[in-house]
Amino acid sequence: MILSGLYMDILADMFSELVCQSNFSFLEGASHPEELVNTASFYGYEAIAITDECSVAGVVRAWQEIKSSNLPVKLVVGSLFNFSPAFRFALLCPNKRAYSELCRIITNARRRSPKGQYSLAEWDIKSVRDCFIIWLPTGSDQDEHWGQWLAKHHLGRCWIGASRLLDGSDSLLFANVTRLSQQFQFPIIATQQAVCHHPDRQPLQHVLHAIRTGKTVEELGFEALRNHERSLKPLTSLTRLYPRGWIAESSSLTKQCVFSLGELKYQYPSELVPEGFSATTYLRHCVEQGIVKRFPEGVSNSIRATIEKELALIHSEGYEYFFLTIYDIVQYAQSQQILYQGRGSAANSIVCYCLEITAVDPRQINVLFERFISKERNEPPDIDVDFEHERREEIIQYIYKKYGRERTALAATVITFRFKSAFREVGKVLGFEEAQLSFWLKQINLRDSTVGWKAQLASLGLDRNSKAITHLFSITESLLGFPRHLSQHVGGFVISAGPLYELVPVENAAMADRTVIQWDKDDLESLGLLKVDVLALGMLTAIRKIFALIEQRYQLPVSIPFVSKYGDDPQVFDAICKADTVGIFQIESRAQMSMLPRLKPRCYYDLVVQIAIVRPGPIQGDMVHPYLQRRHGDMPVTYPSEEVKSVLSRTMGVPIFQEQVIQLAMVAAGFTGGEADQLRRAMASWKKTGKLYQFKSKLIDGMTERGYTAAFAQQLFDQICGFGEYGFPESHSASFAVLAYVSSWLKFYFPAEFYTGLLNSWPMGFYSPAQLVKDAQAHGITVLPVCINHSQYDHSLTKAGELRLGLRQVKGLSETAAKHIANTRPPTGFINLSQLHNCGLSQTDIAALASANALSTISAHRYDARWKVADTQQSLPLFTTAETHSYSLAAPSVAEDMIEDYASLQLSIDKHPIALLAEAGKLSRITFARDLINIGHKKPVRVVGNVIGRQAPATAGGVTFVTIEDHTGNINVIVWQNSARAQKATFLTARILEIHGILERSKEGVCHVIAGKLVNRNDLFDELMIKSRDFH
Amino acid sequence: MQWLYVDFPFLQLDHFIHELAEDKHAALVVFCPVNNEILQVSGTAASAGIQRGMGLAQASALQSSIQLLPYSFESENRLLTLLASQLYQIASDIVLLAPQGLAIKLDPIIHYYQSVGNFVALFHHTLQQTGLRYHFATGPTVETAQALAKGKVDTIYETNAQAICALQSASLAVTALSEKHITQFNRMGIRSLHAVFQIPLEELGKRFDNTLISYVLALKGNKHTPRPVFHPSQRFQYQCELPFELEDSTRLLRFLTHPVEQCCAFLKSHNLTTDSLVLMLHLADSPQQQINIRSGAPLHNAQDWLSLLSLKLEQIELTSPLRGFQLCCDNTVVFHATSDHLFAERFSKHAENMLMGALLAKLGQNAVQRPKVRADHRADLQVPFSKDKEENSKAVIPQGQQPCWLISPPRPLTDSTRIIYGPERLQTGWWDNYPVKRDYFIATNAKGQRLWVFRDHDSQWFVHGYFS
Repeated sequence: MILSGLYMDILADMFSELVCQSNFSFLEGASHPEELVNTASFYGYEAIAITDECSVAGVVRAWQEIKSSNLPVKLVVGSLFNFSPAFRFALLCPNKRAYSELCRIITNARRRSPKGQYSLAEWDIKSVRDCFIIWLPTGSDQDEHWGQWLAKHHLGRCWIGASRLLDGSDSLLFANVTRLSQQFQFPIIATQQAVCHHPDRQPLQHVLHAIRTGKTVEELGFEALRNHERSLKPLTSLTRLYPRGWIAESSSLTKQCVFSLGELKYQYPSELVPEGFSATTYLRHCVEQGIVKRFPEGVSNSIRATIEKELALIHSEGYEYFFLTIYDIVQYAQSQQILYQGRGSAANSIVCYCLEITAVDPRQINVLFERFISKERNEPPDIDVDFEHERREEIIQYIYKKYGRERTALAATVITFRFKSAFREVGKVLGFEEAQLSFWLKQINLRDSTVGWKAQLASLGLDRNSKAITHLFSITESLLGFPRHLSQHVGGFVISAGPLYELVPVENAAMADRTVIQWDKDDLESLGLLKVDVLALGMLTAIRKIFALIEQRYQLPVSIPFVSKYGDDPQVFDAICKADTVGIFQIESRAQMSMLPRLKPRCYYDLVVQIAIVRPGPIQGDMVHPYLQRRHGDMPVTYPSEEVKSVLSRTMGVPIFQEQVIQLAMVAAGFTGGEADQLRRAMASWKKTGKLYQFKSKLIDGMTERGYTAAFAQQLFDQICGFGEYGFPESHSASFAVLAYVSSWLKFYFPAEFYTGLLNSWPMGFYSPAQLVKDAQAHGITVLPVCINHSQYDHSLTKAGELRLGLRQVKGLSETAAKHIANTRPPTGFINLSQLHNCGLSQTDIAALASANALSTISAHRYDARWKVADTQQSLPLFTTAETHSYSLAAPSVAEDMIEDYASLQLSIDKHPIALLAEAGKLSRITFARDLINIGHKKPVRVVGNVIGRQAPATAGGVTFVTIEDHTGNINVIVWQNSARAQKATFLTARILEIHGILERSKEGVCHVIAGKLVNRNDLFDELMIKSRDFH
Repeated sequence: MQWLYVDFPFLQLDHFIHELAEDKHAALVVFCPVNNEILQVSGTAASAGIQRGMGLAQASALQSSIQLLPYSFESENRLLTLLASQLYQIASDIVLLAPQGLAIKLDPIIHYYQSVGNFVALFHHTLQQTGLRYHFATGPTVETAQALAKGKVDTIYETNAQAICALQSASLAVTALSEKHITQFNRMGIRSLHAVFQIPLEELGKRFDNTLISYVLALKGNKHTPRPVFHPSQRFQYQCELPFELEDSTRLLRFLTHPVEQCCAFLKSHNLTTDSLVLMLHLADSPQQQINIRSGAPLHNAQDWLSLLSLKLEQIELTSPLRGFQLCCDNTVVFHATSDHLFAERFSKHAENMLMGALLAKLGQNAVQRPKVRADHRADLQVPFSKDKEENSKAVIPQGQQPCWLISPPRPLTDSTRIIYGPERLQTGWWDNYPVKRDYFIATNAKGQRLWVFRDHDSQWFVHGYFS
């Protein structure tokens, strides 16, 4: 092909777009950074700068895209600033020093303002020494002033950016920039100041603009972009718009920018290593100390060999500081008696066991550390540390104190538009009524995988051909996944040796005293930077409290290693197999409970499998049944190949864990380490980005080429999709299983302490205090009521081992007041209301205590107490001694007492509503939970209970699992979609539900009632209330 | 003293069903978006299990095809006033308790009707024509009657003592006590008025404020709260939100029948007549549009006015969908059967309307328009003409080079011209029915005129204006 002369000229004049905003200029840019770099590459640009407003949040994605797709375009890092309406400019980073400077400037500007805003000072711009400045004159009379200012401070590193946007002011602007260039000796570069990669994005840009300004698109008027010019354009168009010199200047400026994000290297905090040690020797030193503690009897040769191998791998990857950082944090937690547990890909190594990061004994689980940190897979080690949820803040404050706020910040989480937010916002700016949008949104069932949201809306009568609806649908779809703002990661800290703002800009988070960096965990991973996850876990708080109660009562120093030391206890596993797991970590949900009698875990590793198997991944991939069959010997354990056997042998040939799926992709489909890493990331965010489908053909083709059946390959892909956002890795399950076992052990041997600790750590877990108390009573524990003269703030145990409810349970009583009561209680106890008034309690606090029946020692009953409390004259000083009440109220009935208990304590230790109904003769031909065992399989049955849960998991194909509760236990009910639809009103509104159905019992003894007729029995309780009133 | 209280628990909904709904059996609910709460439920919706107090999610799960009417206090208030006006024909001392109730003092009217029974029969007859569901009761005070009516007793008590006795078994939920007070009572086990009445007032006084004490006294019939008595307006005004948007003005007639009848009834009852009605149309995307309907001579017959309205509506072209309307009657005069100079005497007041009317008759509907200015890149839409009276004088400065004198619609360019400036590109308007893609230029022609010309997406050239 003969290239025309013009085209040759274009090639000679390479162009770089140096002022360009991605959608990380929130609600302004209308293209993803990836789209911008791909388009720039397609148009043959020499370079593209991503210059988001006061931000570098999008640059890593652009850089990663160029790297992974091997794009022949250079990325220049920069940022755009609006100092004032008359002074706009972009800063570009020619080198690493300039990059640090830019990060510092952004940090300063961001830290001065609340979340999401920035405030630049003139000093910030004056302090620029290394960045290049692209000034964007506005044509106002202030151009002269800013030209002089820039010439004075930044001559030699300032350019003028000229844009021809065909908006009617081009000739004035051209004349203006030419004059300014001559006057101040600033060269001119051409730039479209792109805000999107393609002209088609104009509607989306208008919509974003309207969302940002709170107007409708129509109301934007002259504010809106009037044409498509602010997008990336082909070189041929650009040469028609700009003088050649201006285009050439963009290229020459680009050539001076040599900085690449790949140059960023993480500098670990040096103070972690004491003098006289190197990081490697100090890590070894700590590990050796740990060996003595963890293996007092000495280590076997094989363990020693593994430790050496792990240390060598850590050394070769340069991860010593990472391990030492976490070691330091957990050491602090230990010193403060804060319970913690490490988990994650590297946490279950023997090194981490020796460093006491995890309590998972490697002898119990055949963990190959190499499996988790792999050179080939090039993924950073992952260690999350869970701390007691009530004391995590102490750890965070320790980190801030030790490393200083300059060197520590949380990783960001990019909050993106999800379907509902996108639909609502787009609808609003297109002029739809908010009530109408809310109504539509409420009609959409996103879990319905068979009918898409558009079809669901069309079925409501929306005209899909109408222009407004077409725009609503198409723009909503484009907006999905667009970043909305930066939020803070739950606990991922980035700690550096020097000021963090030289590595990445830091900004304020919404929470006071928290700062976040501008990158999220994927960005950090792309750049190979490490974060330390400091997370909160309620169960750890509960376990620590239970340990303390045991210590107090029996002087027994129980700890996680203490429990683990005894190995797998058959009695504890017997209880687990019976699904007696209310309150047990991870295996207490209804789904887990129905699986326990089927899987019958007998050892620690069974628990690891149990925790991971009741997840959408294995369920959608149809892995549960084959696993159970193989486990019970009903199906032979076979492997399609030796490679697959190496991966799946520990789970009997069935992939259960996320790691196994990734490993299978490598051994069976021939994925390279890099590809497997991309697959892992795509899995984590596939719902958001849908990138997973890119791997489908590669995976299936790869497997079929290697001789696997297409069905096996498809099954694996389905499981990968299922794992998606709910994936559960073995490395996490292994740590969770420790806590699951420890909590089961505690429940079995120390039930009173177990329930007390659990209730004192609430809110946490799956069950409400009412359900926990019922379970405690079912385990023979006496529960005593809240009492002004006996209760502490927390729930406590009496010497006889009875559980005394604490004042914390009283609704409406402040924590300060509750603690005040416990601290100022007279030795003989309170004997009248005046004492409560006198000790400073408010009327509201005393009324809350009265309703909770906590004043039963000083008043006849709760109504009487409340009546006396309401008497305002009693709180006056004159009446402090004498209490005169001429009128008294009737005492509550049993039913009224129960209602008051639920209203003020959220639980009742006396009668259950169903027990009351049964006693009042309101129930006939009903089988209670405890008697279901006597009903035959497939026999009709009638049950009744309070509805305590309705779950319709996406994996269940339209079935709703309803749990009802009577006074003897819980009943699992399965309601088919058709039954639910036909009896919708009852199904959705009944609080007391009677079910006529068929009992189904599995061979393991798990009972379910398959619902036929549903009867709303809310009226029964109302009758009871009326009846009870009639007695008085 | 004896009061009759009438409670309309479904005022907005029933009125909608009776007067506006096309499908009287649709699952309709009145919904308060602020609290996400269903307030009123139609029979069909109720049989699907929807109840007052539910949220939208639960209601729509029960019945996916529910129709929502946003709750409007103002609308209920207007309806209540209208009802009071109707009842004013048969009773004098009416007290409004917005938004859903009114009370009628029975003592003065017994004199006219001989017995309460006679009046009550007429009262039911009047209300039944409105199609509204209601509950009623009598009592010695407005408060007593109100609580009993809310308790749906639907009884006319012969004596006040009977009413007080009936009130004893009522629950606190039917009273006008605040939520806070009801909760306070419930937490003491006090759930009925019987229990409240048993407590000595002195004991109540130690625990509750004076408002509550006064209210309890009123409930017992021991205290009368002074209340303003309703006086009907001397001006007829009716306002209505349509159940759906109308594109065709003639379909409005169906919704006008009842208001016009009410208007004429109003005129007759006040011995008035009128020669003009004002119909204000509330449009979706345009300012409201006023239609004046004039008759040659004063009229007070509904059929006459409906015929005139029908003719008028045929001429009206709606600029955007119609959402609601208001019907007013201001130019009323006292009706004298012999008067035939009425119109002449009032001529000056109608001058403006007469001029507009004459212009409209002479030049046609589309020729009489008023300008307004709007911010839009598209010059064609910057100065739209509208048929309404409202003027938008807000200064709007268009960007770019643009002449004052526009040609609308743009004319194909036929002159030979020379471009002296441009292009100025316009690509916008994707959201409405007027998307444009044009390159504008300034050009001069052989006469030396400066033209504003553009090339459209088909490379056709047009003149859009002249520079002065």
